[in-house]
Amino acid sequence: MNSVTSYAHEFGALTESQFEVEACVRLEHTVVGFQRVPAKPQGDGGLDGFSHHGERGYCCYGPIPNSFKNAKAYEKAIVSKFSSDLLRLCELKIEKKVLVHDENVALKDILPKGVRLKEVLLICNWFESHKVIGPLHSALMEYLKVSSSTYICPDAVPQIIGPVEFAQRFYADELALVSLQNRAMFQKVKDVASALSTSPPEGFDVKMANLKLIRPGKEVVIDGLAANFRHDWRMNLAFEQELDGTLPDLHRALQEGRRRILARVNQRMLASTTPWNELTEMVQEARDILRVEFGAYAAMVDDVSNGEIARLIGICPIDWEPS
Amino acid sequence: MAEHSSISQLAELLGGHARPVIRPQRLTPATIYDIDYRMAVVALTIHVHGVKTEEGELRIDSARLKLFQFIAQRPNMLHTMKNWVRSKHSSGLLSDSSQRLRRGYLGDSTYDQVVEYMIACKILRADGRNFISERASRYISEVTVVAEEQGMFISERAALQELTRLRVTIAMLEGQ
Repeated sequence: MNSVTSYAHEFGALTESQFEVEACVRLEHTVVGFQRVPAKPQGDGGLDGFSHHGERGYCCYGPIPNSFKNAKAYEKAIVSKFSSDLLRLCELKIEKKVLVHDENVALKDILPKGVRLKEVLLICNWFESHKVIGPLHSALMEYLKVSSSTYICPDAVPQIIGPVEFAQRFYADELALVSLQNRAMFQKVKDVASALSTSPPEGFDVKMANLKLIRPGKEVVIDGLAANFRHDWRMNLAFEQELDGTLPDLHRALQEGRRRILARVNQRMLASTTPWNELTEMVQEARDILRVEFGAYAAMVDDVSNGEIARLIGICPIDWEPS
Repeated sequence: MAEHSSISQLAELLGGHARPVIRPQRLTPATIYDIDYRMAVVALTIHVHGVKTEEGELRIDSARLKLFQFIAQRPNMLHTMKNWVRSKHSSGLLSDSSQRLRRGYLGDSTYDQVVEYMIACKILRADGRNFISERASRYISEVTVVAEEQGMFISERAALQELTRLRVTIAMLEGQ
């Protein structure tokens, strides 16, 4: 499978905001002057981005395929979503089956002054049916007849593209593929981590309780610390789970990295006259150890390294008592 | 970086107020690197999914064994497996969710070493694309009996039973 096909395959498997974010990231890399439009909090006016000084607009739609019974339902959803975007660009709404003017307040502040869209690219995560083409072209033609054309030219055209066309048109090379895979993995790890309800072993809570006794008056700070450690720990656990399920050989490398980190923690803390200062240094050292195998997942290495030290505090090797 | 500073904060809180207690110890490796565990799961997979030959041996497709033992050790992946099967036997609308799972089980090189070891121990033998249990070895039947009698490997055995309900075709195993 070449990079374009692989990219198209992975890009097409993304849905909802992940799909939109990936499309925008790719466009930012390949289209000079591509401008992303944030949807929150004021709304995007129907555009996810624009380029060519505002003459080309981009709308993305990545529905969840499993939510449709059949291809017909999928086609209907695509036509409905993009028609709704086109309606907004034409400043229209449908009232009792009649098109009526509906001011698009957001577009005034999004598009450069006096510029109108000449082309609208409709990017979808599924484009395996020609049945969406006619209805969308017809819809825009119909809307333009009624539109005040403040933000869109009367002869503007839509173009529907799917993952394959997107990958071909926007030069999806190996780097794009690797970046996409990394972003997808990072997102997955974050999602899994936030859903993990695993609580650290009892020993962790005991240590935090001891710390409160050692440092009375710092309870709030300590609670905050514990929460951060739990977060890092969950990220670490989710990363481990992801590696175990999808990259078993890297999981093995993680185990090896852990062994080396523990050995270094023991060495440094036992040898130092200021052992607590070693903790901060250890995070950097854990990072360096993990980067050897996990450099490609740079975005996650920080969280995972912190999580690793948090794990060592939780599972036993690092403990404390009043001096 | 908030997370980094939380470790620094901890160091500051402890510095001068507490002395460290280091418990040098070996990090317990994950169970999936335990050879006995891996061999037991392979044996259970062959017991549940193997086909009895005329000679009374158990035969299993090597790709099927690799995939099923992988899932048995990770029952949380059953859901992905079911989606993969559904996507193969229904309309083309379901996204192909198998890619990550396939990458996972195909990259499980620890399994390859475990099977090689089992062949060396004369528990299994390779026969074309299949593995066949050696008649002289009682390992598979003994592991199965012990697991059932002592209530061991409950989640693994449950996952293997669940997999019997899924139609996993040769085409899927060949990556099509």
